[in-house]
Formats: sequence, structure tokens, C-alpha cells
Amino acid sequence: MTEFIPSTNRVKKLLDNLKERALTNRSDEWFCEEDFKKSKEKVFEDYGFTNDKEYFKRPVIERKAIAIDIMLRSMTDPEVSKRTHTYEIEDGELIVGVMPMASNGLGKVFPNYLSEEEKRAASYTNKTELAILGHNTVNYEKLLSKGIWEIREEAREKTEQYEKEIDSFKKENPDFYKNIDRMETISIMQNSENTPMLTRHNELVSKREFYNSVKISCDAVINYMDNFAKLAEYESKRTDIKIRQNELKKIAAICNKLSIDKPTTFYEALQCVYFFHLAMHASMNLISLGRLDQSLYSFYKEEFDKAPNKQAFRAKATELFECFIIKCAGRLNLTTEFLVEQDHMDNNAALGVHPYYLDQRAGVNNFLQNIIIGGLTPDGNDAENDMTHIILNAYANVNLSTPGIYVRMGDYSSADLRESVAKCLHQTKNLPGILNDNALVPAIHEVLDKYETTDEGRKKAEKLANDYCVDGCWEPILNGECDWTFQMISCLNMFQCAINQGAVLDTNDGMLRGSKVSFRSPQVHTYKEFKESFKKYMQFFIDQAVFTMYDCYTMDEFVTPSPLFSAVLGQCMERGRDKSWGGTGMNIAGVILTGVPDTINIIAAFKKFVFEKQMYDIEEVKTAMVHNFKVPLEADFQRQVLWNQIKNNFDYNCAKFGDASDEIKEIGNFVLNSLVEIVDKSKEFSEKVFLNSLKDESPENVNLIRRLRQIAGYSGSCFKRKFGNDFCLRFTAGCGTFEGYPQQGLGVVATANRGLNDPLIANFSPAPGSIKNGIGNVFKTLSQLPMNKMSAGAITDLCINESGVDYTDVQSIIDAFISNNGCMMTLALGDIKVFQRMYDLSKDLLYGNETQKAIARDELPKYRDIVVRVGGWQAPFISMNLDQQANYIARFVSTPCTKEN
Amino acid sequence: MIRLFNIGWHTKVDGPGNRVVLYLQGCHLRCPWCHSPHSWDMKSSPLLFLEKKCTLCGQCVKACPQGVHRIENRKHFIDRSKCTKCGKCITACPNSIANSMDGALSLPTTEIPVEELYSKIKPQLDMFKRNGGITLSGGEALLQKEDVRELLLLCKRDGISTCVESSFTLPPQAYESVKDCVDFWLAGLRDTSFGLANFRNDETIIRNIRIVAGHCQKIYARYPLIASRTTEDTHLKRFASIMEATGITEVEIMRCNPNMELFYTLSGIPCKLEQASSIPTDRQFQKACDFFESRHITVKK
Repeated sequence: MTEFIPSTNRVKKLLDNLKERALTNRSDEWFCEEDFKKSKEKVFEDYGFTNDKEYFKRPVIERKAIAIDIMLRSMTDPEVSKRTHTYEIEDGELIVGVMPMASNGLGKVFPNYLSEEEKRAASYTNKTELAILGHNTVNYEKLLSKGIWEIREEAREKTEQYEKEIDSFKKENPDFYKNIDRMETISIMQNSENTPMLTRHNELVSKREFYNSVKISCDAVINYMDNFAKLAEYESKRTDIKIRQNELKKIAAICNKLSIDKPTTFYEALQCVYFFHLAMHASMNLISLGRLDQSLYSFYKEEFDKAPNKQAFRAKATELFECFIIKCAGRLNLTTEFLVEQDHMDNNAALGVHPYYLDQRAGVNNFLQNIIIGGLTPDGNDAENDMTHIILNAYANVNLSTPGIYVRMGDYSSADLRESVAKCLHQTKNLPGILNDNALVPAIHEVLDKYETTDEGRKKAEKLANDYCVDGCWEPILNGECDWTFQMISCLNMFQCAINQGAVLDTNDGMLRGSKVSFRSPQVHTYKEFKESFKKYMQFFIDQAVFTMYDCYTMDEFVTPSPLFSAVLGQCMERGRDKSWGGTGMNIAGVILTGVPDTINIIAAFKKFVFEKQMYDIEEVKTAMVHNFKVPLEADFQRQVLWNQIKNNFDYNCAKFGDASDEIKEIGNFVLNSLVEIVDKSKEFSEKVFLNSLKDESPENVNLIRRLRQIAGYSGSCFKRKFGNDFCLRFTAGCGTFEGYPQQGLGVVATANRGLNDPLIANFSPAPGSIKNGIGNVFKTLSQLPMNKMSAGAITDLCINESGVDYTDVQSIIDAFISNNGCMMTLALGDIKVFQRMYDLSKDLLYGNETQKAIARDELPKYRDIVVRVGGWQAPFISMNLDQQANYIARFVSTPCTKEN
Repeated sequence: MIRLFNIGWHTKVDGPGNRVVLYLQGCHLRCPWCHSPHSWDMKSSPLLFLEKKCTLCGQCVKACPQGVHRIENRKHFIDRSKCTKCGKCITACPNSIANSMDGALSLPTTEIPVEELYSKIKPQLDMFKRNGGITLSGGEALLQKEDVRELLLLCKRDGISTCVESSFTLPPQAYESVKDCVDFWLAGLRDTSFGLANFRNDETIIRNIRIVAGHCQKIYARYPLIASRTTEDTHLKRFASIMEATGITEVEIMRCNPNMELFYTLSGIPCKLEQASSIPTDRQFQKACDFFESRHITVKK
């Protein structure tokens, strides 16, 4: 492999500055409503609004586009920037533009664009302007091949074209337009099924609004780039250092060019990606950076081939990429002291209709941005290129927690890539995450293929599967081609319902049998009965999830349209439809089970001790679980001994997820195959209810389907009519918790290897402390499970003691993971003593006396470079909450025996 | 069926690279500094008892048909002479784990068909195939030479590097039987005059090493450095002579295990050495290093 080259002094300085800034109180840098005032006045003037009322008369999508304009203008307002620092170029920077403060955990700030009445109506579904999912990536190839200006021009032309079509339609149908307002009312009342004229009118108007919104939002980005060109020119005149002067002039030239043309060099392409990424994040779509080694490679190669000094050009490209990473990480918070002041979250429900429910602290430094490298080309060839290695080199040097990085690997991966990845992981101790194409490509392909009926469609499905990437967490998506949503469902709830007649065990005895979350069923007495019952509850909860995803799709259009995003996503521009209106052409909807390893472990315990050996009565075990295996009356000594024995047997004397036993193989296959089978059944049923037109159905079926829609709380027309004939949600299945495992464990009774309220096991990993037979057997466990059906992913997070581990050991672990058909993996290397020290200091910072706090403040920054996995993403360990830290410490496994230990 | 009392799933100290180490039951030497006295018995370890994990619940007393356990005055007494190693006390104990030494009571020895054992460790062996393999240690691994050979052949079939640790004091047939399937040897040479076997014939050791020498990639010598027992020049010279006679060029000096007494306490076997006075000083360690290096023997540190 090509040896990694070290960072330049410029990069080191920029990195140090970022980390220093991240240790300060950043609450002042956040935008507030007042900051938008001046830009809003200017924008209103430009669009001819004299007051808010006129603005709120415009369709939501146009209001959103105008709000993007207000946001980006405010970001380059010199007065506002004195506090937000968003209109600055730092000394030494090569990539420019500043993202406004925001994060998955702390929230976002954006100019208000929903009217008061819209907000009141949205309170019913907890939809707010912040209820925008992000979790996706744009089509960067399209962006780079066209440039923003060309996309803007395309949108302008289409806007004008639809203006004309609307005019013609009006002239051709004067009678229709006399009654247009009344017709709209009728159409809503009659579900639009029988109003073709109105449908046509709505379509023309919506397309015009969409293209106009794309144009407005592209103009906003272009204006932003112009402003940075001006700033770079201004700064170039202020500096006496010739080299820096030239750099700033070049930056200005690039910004100027990108505002009117497409990029042609590697540097321009990288700046173009950053500008668009920044605009997406500024408009609240926290999204990923996609397969950058693919989208940037042609720009790099063309210059590299011509470069007289290839080594120097490669080094410069590495430096530029490191500058790019640092820019993307600009919103870091490395101290936890000022987080409450920065909490900008509201009740938004980005998924479903429940208020925001997330471990915010774990997401403080998550911006849902990843870079994916390696993998296959759409045609199925190995996609590794020199850019892949440059990006790895840059990460090995910079080692920031964000953007995350994943490498797609498979049997096809070269020895060179395997070695580079292992070296990068060994150096950074946590990056990159591994995506196994051996499992993921077939899984995604199978889902897409089942919707295709033609050879051409099947070929396309294959290409899309080969080209997959992941969003800002780890959910697989189609690279720049799909809209994506998901629902998480508790697998432990299914287990509890199955053993407790449809109720979740509850510590509140006022709930009698427990919290009734599903239908009542007969008590189970055998393992066979348990499995039958478990599947019925799985069907119940998955039906709920699948119906919710169909139902919620109808809400986005009027709350969170994304015209800028749609400009470079899927088929939106070709179809003239926003992504919230069936524009992408591909909609992926994930059904993700939480707590699967916990469920497998507790099923294994029940199977052995309750159903097969019949050592314990099921009611006694349930009572013990409710009481956390501690008898309510201390004097009840004999019962306590029994409960201790049950707990000991459940925790230690039965099969565990990760031990490669036949029991885990049987139970794991049962759970995962049931998931896939039931998702398919739910898909079919939901399509019957929501998707298809009723016109070809028998009268009997029409009545049935209408009835089913009403029962499911939906009274609109079929989705194909609303969102296009080829619209459907393609359902994928996966397992994971993301960062939510501590919260997901709250309120959950004790199970095998965890106590009442304790965190669940993170993602798809073995229970902390339960790996007794080596990591090799964890991978064998994965090889025994249907991982190539986990199209929504299932990530295994491992943490090993770094002592004595060299990069060849890391390579062995990665290779074993791949050859055993694991799905996704993160590997962290650390020193448990250091982690314990960070935990103690973090605790002191929160609860210690003044002296302890002072020591903690002084010492914690020393550990700022230690980054670990928290479920969905990487985070600096010192920024995590105590629960997360403690859980992480418990995970250390497989300490190699060395002379030192 | 092969008998073992522990598996080290990932070690970097028992052979080159990353190793899975099988600690096989049975040892004929019984060196006084041994830190695994529970490995001595050829069949199985005595019942181990970790007092700090016992909650004195009395379940073991009820479960044991032999009357091995007794609890008096909030103290747990064990009469191992009556113990048949049936494991009923472990099953009944709420603080013990089957097949694990982590609980209050344990019987760590497992008897398992070779194929089954191999399939259990194979995933880990496969993972470190490129830069490691298997090491058979003990006890004295080659006391189970037929099963050891069967296991080693399975490893060789799958291209897994093999390593065996031995005192080289067994009859030559033990070494003849496995010489063609061992890549590395750890020659745990020692002055055994302090052990029960009273083995003094260095020629036997030299002969045994010569049996395997032409068939393996490398032999590493291991020298136990025990204060007041093996730190004197006479011991070092004798050891170096064996190395020179067999062409071994690298030695690892093993200081007395600081936790040597642990398994004596757990197993009830009396410990004949005092731990504190058995740990060599840095000076003694350096002296040993200097000695070997002066004889052009590489010391692995």
C-alpha cells in the first residue's frame, strides 16, 4: 500500500483551532430569530412582499425556498457574523463557508415559514419545521456534472414552461377555472378520485411551484457563494503574506466560478460539494456526503494524470481533503458544560407522530454526515481508486468524530485496501466503520428486485444495489436516488407480549398484568406456543409501523418540503416533484427492530429454563424480572435465593448472542427470518390499503379498501394517484438501537444480562461483558444468521483493549468479519483505564465540589481526541453522558494477553 | 476425548503472533512455583472455591450428596476428600457459572471430543490464521499425546499454525508422535529437581528436543526465574548448556507469577513456596539476561 503521508502544519493548526474552539462555550454562536430580521426584510423586498400575510399566502414549498434564502443571507450578514462567525475565513483555510450551529442532539435554527394556523394544525401530529429527517444523501455526481448554476437554469426554464402550460390550460378550460375554488373543496371531499381536470390543474401548479422553489433556493446558494468570493477578495487585500494572498485570490476565483459554472478541477469540485452540503445543513437537512471517492475521482484523476509532480499533487489533494473534513466538523462541542444553553430542540416528530425522543447528549456532536468509500461501481466492479486511499489517509491524520467514515468492503476488496483500512483504524482507534458488501448488496438487491417486472427494471435494481451508501447513521440508502424513512420497533416488547398475553411487564402493580400494548392472547406453556405467539405480536407491531410510514408520508409535503435537496435527489427534477411528493422515484422505508440481541438472550434463557428444563414457573420468572430479581420483602430469603439462581442462570448459564451456539443459531434465525417474512406480509397488506387505485377493483373490494383506509385513519385518495403511478414504499428490514440504547432500556424490566432500566445492548452486538469465546465466535454467530436479508442494516459494535494490538490484528478482525458475512461493524480500540479516568472526571465535572470540577476542567481536554462509537455514530468520549460512558466501559472485550497485562 | 482446564482465547505471549491457548489437564512435574496446581491431577481439577463470591446461602450444602460442604459460624468449609466432582453444588449455587472459574464454585476441567473442541475454537483460529495460531500448553500437553496429535492434524489440515509447550521430559514417543505437525515449540526447560518427578537427566531433554528440532520452524526456550530457586549460576549454566546442545538461540525469561498463590487458595492444595520471596528482583532478572546474552543467546523481552 501507499504509506500514509502526515498532515501539513496548516492542517495541524486548523485542527488545533477547531478543538480549542470546541472546548469553549459556543452558545452565542447559535442563530436566533432576531438574526433573520434584516435579511428577511431584504428578501421580502426582493420578492415584493409588504408583510407576513403576503408571504404566508405563497405555497409552503416556496416559503421554504424563500426561508433558505433568508437563512443563507443571514449567514453572510457581517453584523450577525460578529456573534455567529458564519461569515469568516479563518487564516490558512482552503475550503470556505461556515455551517451554522446545529446538531442532531442540540437541534436546529431556521427562519419560520409555517403560518400560525399551520403550526396549530401540526401540533396534532407533532410536525414542526424541525421535523425534517435529513438522513440521506444527494446525487453528488449530478451536482458536480452540472454545477448549481445549470440546475438553477433548468429550474427556471421549467418554471417558465409550466407558467405557459397553466396559461394554455386556463385558456382551454375557462369554465373550469371559473369554479376553481369550489372544485378544490369538492376534490378534497371526494378524495380527488373523479376530478381529472382538477388533478391536471393541481399537477401543473405544483410543478411550477416546485421548479420555482428550486430556482429560488439555488439562487440563494449562488448568492452565498458570491458573498464568499467577495470576502475572500477582501481578505486577500488585508494580508501582507504573498502566499496567503494568492490562496485567497484563488478561493475567490473558485467561489466566483462555482456561482456561474460547473466545477472542472478537484479543488473546485471539493468546494462545490462543501457549499452544497453546507446549504443543505443550513436548511436543516442534516445529510451525508455520500460516496465521495467516486464523485470526486474523475476530477482528481484528470489533474493527476497531467500533473508534472504527481506526488506533490497527491499531497495537495490530501491536504485539501483534510481541510474539507475540518470544515465539516466546524460545529463540534468538546465540553459538556454549556449544552443546556445550546438546546434548541422542540417537539418535532421527524418520524411518525411522537415528539422528539432521542438521547440528545449522545447526539450533541452528530450532524448525520458520513462519507462512504470503496465498494462497487453500479456495474458491479471494484470501485476502489486513489481517492479512496487519499480519504483514508486524511482520516488517519485528522481523526475527528465527524464526518463519520464507512468503507464498503467485500470478498473482492484488494489487499491494499484491506491494509490501508486496518492501518487507518489502528491509528484512529475507531475509523472507518465497515460495511460488508457480501451481505448488504444482496440484501438491498433482493428488496429492490421484487418490485421490478422488466429486465430493464431488474438491471436498474442491480445497479442501485451495487451503488448503495449509508446515511448519517448507518442505514443503507440508494446513493442520491431515494427518499428514506424508518420506524423503530421494540423486539423486547414482542417478547414480553408473547409471554404475558399482550402486555408489557410493568413495575407499577396498578397495571395488574402489565401495560396493555397489544391484543390479549392465551398464556404460552411451551417453546412452540411461545414462537407462534411471538410472531403474532411481531405482525401486530410491524403492521403499526408500516401503516404509520404510509400515513406520515402524506404530511411532509405541507410541513417539510425540501426544494434544494430535491434539486439533486433521484428523479425529482425530471418529475417536477419534491421528494415529499413522490419525486424521487424510489422510496425506501426501513423497519428496524431494537433490542434484538437482548431478545435473543432472554428467549434462550426462557427456552432452556422455563420451557425445556421446566426449572422455573413462568409466573415466578416474570415476577422476578419485574422486581429486578430482588424480592420486595427482605425476609423472604428462600425466594431471594431462587431469584438469584434464576438471574445467575439467565445471565451466565445459557446461550448468548455471539457465542456461536446452536441455540443462538436457532433463535436468531427464528427472529430475523420472522422479521423479513412479516415485513413482506405487512408490505402487501399496506399496499392493498393505501397504494393502488380503486378503479379496477370489484365493488366489494372498493368498499373493503375504503373501510380499511378509514379504520387506519386515512381518508385520502390512493397513493399512486397522489404521488405517481410507480410510487410505493420499498420496505427494508434491519436491527439496531442507534444511540438510543440507554433510553430504550428505561422502563424495561430486567432481562438476561441486564437489570431493570439498564441500557439495551447497542445495535446488533453481544451483551457487554458476554464475549467469553473470542471475537471469532461473534463473527461465526453472524455467519449463522440471515445477514444477507438485513436490507436496513444490522451493525455490530465491538470494543477491544488496544494493548498489544497491532494493525495486522485489526486486519485479521476485519477480514474475519467480512468472510463470515457480517453486515456492518464498528471497531474501537482503547485503554479501559483511560476510559475509566475520563468517566471519573466527567462525573466530577457534573457532581464534584469546586476543586474536583477545576481538576476535571483542566484534565478532560487532554482526552479530546478519544472518539468512540455510540450506536449510530462516533462521538468524543468526553462529550458523552455518564450512562453512555459507563456502558462503553463495560463493553471492552477480548483483551489480548500480553506481557503488560 | 481431550481434557483441558482453560482456554486463552487471545494471547500474544505463548508463541508467535496471536494465539488461542489450550491449557490441558495433567502434569507429572509439579514444580513448586507452578501457578496452576489445579492442572496437576491427570483427570481433573479439584473443586475450586472463590470465597468472596459465596453468599453463604447454603444451597450447595443441600445439593451435595457427599456432605462436602459445611457452613458454620458464617464460614464455608469444604472437605474435598469426599468430593466426587458431580457438579451438583455448582448447579445449585446462585453465584456459580457452569464451565467457568468466575463463580463461587467451579470444576474447570472439561472433557470434550477433539472434533467438538476444534469446532469451538476454529472461528477464533481462522480469524488469526494470518498472524497466529494455536498453542497447546498445560499442565504438560503431551501427556494426552493421541488427542493432541488428532487436534494438531486438524489444525494442519486447515493451515493453522501450531505450537506446543513442553518440558521435554516425557518419553521420546510423545515427541515422535507429534513432531510432524508442530510448527513451533515452547521448551519450558527447568531445573526439575525441586519438582515431584525428581528428573535430573538433561540428556533426555536434549534427546527429545533433537527429535523435534528438524521438523519445526523454531524452538523458543522458556526459563522460569524464581528467586532463591533458579537464580543461581548453576541453574543458568545448566539451562544454557541444554540450549547450546540443541541449537536453541532464543530464550524468554519468565518471572515468578505474582498471582502464583491464587489457585492454591482456590483448590486447597498447599503451596510450598512463599510468593513474596519467590519473585525475583530486577537485579536478578538483569543478571539472568546478561548471562544468556553473554552466551550469545537472544533474550526475548
